[in-house]
Amino acid sequence: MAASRALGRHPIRIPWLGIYFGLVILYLFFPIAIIALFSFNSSPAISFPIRGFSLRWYREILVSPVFLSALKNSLIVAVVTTAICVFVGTLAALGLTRYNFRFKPLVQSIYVLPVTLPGLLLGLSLLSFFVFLGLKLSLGTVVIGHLVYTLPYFVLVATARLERFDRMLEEAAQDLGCTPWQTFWKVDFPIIAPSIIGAAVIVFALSFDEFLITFFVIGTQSTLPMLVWSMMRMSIDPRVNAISVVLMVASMVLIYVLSKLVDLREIEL
Amino acid sequence: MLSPSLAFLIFFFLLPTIVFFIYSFLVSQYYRVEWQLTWDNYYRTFTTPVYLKAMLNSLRIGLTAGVATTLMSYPFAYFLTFRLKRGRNLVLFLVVISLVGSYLVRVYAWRTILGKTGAINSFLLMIGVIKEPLLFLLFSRLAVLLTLVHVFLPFAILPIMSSLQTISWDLVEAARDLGCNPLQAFLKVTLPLSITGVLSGFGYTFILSAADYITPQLVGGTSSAMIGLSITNQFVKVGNMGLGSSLSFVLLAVLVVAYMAIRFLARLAKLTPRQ
Repeated sequence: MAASRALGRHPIRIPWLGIYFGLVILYLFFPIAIIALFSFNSSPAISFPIRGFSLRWYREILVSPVFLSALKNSLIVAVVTTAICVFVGTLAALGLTRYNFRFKPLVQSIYVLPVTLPGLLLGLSLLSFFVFLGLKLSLGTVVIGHLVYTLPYFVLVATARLERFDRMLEEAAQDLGCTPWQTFWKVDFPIIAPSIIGAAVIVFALSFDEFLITFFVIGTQSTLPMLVWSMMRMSIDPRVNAISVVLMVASMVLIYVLSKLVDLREIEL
Repeated sequence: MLSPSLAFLIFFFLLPTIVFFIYSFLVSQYYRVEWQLTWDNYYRTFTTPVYLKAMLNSLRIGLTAGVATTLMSYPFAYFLTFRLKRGRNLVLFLVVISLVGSYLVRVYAWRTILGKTGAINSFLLMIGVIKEPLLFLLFSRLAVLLTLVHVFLPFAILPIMSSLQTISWDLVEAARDLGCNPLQAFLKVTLPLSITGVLSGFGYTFILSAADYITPQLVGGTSSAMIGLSITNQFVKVGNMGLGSSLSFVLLAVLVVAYMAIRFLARLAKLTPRQ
């Protein structure tokens, strides 16, 4: 007993756990790797053996107006969603962590509920509502849809760090003669900025990739996931692989930036 | 400070949900609703065999995917939290990428991998293991489960991991000192202390899987028809929004009741720590 405990914090040794861990990683990533591999295939078939590699599909999507306009729309939606989220969400995160008020648990549950509901129901209730209001479906309605889904995420991630914020620092700053405004910029802001930016990055990534809600509220325009959807339903189109890789690389870059800003272990659902 | 976001969520989340709910009591056809009250939508929801079968299918597939995902995630999260020293951030990076990114791409990936001329079949043909492509891979319940578990794994891994992180290893050591064997220590200390993560991980994956309307369309066959697609069709093909709404709310009720039942079972099994 004593000997096994001397090995460290972990007296239980299960040799299979590491192998299992590797297998799950493989299961999570081999489908994506396959798509990436075939996006460089010189022939249109998505099957082995691979005869040669080329950038043909990437060149084709880069000159395709459909792809470029979908990319533009995706970027517009993600940027607008993120901007509104940061502004409105930061205020909400500050309000939720600093003040106690009546009905606080009720209010908090409104911020959690949209995360727990499936996209299908969020999308359909928004669609019914827009039809009810007589609102025309557009990128604007897509932004609204994305906000309903991302705002709770933003508030969740941003409040995680604010809750551990030491209020003594603010009092110290005010004792040393700072006005409330100065206190905010010199004390609060530098401390909360990384988690705000981190939360913003998550929102951008979620919005850029959102499909389940977008599908119902988009109308006639297209975003990248919508383009992937319409292309893959028609036939085997190797350009879908290239667009998929663009989407995956985008989320990789965003999460890499995120990992530099916040401890990824803080990401909670 | 809350007011802008709260107003937004009330106007674009609560209100639409209420309107959507009211639709389930209204007569509708050809994409229009009439302000005329009816129970007909619920009547049809509970008496049409196709919908009942799809509802049951969704419940079954959701439960299977939820249980499978949670069972797969626990040892993974355990290893990630307590064992892995180097490369932990890299793995976490990979898990978070699959959480926020590429939902559709990953479903699509399975369709191309499992297809008749897809990666698996063409690879097996190439190396000579099989002579004819395996047709049972795609358009089957197995394909739906394989895809759902793959897509929603991070939704179970992260909550389980964050509850494992809060466990102080001293408690486990104390249990060992008091004579527990490793398994007993796990069952009496580690598992009860991480059950919140397990339950919420299961909750997410169960609900997300049961209400998925894309995966069954892309990789499922006729036998794995799920209610999400029937609901979607009421809105995009049939135009009967009232029926789509009643189907949605019955689905939601079924999901909530099933999840509550699971939580209750966990409490009966004395897995949840007493308050």
